[in-house]
Amino acid sequence: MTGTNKQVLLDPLINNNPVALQALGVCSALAVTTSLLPALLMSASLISVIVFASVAVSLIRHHMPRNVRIIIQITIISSLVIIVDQVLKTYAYETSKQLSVFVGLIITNCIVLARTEGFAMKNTVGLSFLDGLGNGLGYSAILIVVAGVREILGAGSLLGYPVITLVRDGGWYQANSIMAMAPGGFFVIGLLIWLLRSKKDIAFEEEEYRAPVQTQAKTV
Amino acid sequence: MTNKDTSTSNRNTDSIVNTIVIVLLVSLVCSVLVSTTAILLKPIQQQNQLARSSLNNILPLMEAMQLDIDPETIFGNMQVRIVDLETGEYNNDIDVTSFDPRQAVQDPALSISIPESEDIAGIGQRAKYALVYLVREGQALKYILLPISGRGMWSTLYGYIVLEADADTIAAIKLVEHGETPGIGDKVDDPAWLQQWRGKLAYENGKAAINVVKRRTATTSPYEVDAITGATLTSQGVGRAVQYWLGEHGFQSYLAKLQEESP
Repeated sequence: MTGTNKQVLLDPLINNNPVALQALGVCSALAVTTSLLPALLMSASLISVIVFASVAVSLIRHHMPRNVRIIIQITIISSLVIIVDQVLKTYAYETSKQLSVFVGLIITNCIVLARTEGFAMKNTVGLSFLDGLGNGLGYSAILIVVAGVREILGAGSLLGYPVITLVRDGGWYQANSIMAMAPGGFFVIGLLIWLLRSKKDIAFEEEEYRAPVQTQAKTV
Repeated sequence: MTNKDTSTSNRNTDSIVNTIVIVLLVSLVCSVLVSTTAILLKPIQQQNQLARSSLNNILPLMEAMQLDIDPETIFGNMQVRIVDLETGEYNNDIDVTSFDPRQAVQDPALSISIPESEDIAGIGQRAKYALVYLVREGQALKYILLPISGRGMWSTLYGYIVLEADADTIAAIKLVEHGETPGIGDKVDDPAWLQQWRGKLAYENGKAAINVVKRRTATTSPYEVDAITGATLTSQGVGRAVQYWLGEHGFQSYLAKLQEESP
């Protein structure tokens, strides 16, 4: 992989993570992460949509009329989401019911539109593919980590298999019900964002104004 | 970092002709892709649906409803029949294993349009036939499982109501499918609320009286179930579904006939 390609693919994984750093797609990241399986399916759905959408937009970018370009991008994204939703309903019906409206809401997920409008409109098909994949993987990474934490702490299981014995099953761990609810998701994502930003020394705001240091007292 | 290719031919892409052409082309391609997918997947989805509502799924449903049944012997003691809702008689010509209730509702030959004044449950169409499940203990009838459906707040609710042998006392109720708001409307799945239905009476003076009502304090009437706070519309949707299907246009004539036959 060339230097640029590698950068386009790997950047959104940590350095420019769509959820943690660009602050996009947070609501679905909260809603589908109560357990790991829906999070995995949601990640797969989003990656499919964002990759195909980026490629499609990049393919027609030279012919795209500027004044209707957002509508056209949304049309493409919506069609892809409908297709993915139908596939999920056919082959993973139980989990698709758990995901309920959130697969459909991929249409409004800011990440997808941000990449098609912000990157695919101005870049080659190959790079757009990698960018879509990178951002999709970045989103998935967050989802998987958050869902893993929430499922273990909230239900003592992972992918449905018990990992920690709960008190109600005769074990020692009292399931943390906050983790099973939205605020728990907020906490985990918040901690993740904090972790990523402090480790990577990125997204620190530059001080806009620095008062000059006085070395001498001013005499009136 | 990223390659930016210099955009050329701006004038050209913004022309009215190009705009219309591109919009039409994109719409065409998208429609073809979406319809093709839908058409290809529909048969599989229907098969799955049928498999889901087949006999095998009734058992877990009954267990979830905490009915007093023995899973070992249940299949030997259960009878599935098709009922003609108009006459209340059994229909012995239709094959129970291949009868798809969802498809029947949409088939003009197998369904009727419900006049608005009768359509308490807001479902518009009703199939002429319905599956009923009878559970016996020895020779005696124990439970009657009836499928119900009705309009909730956002979606159609599908479920089953179970009556005891007197065809009046409600043994259990449960929804098997709905698209209500997660965390709010889906409180109709809460076992605590479903438990309220147990022991309530369906009929008063020959009319389907059981309903979901919103009162300031918990109801004491055997014909009423409290609506769920914050999910009134959805829980009342369940009430209306029960009202319709236990009423004169639903299973009432069948239940009357059933009572005449077996003591």
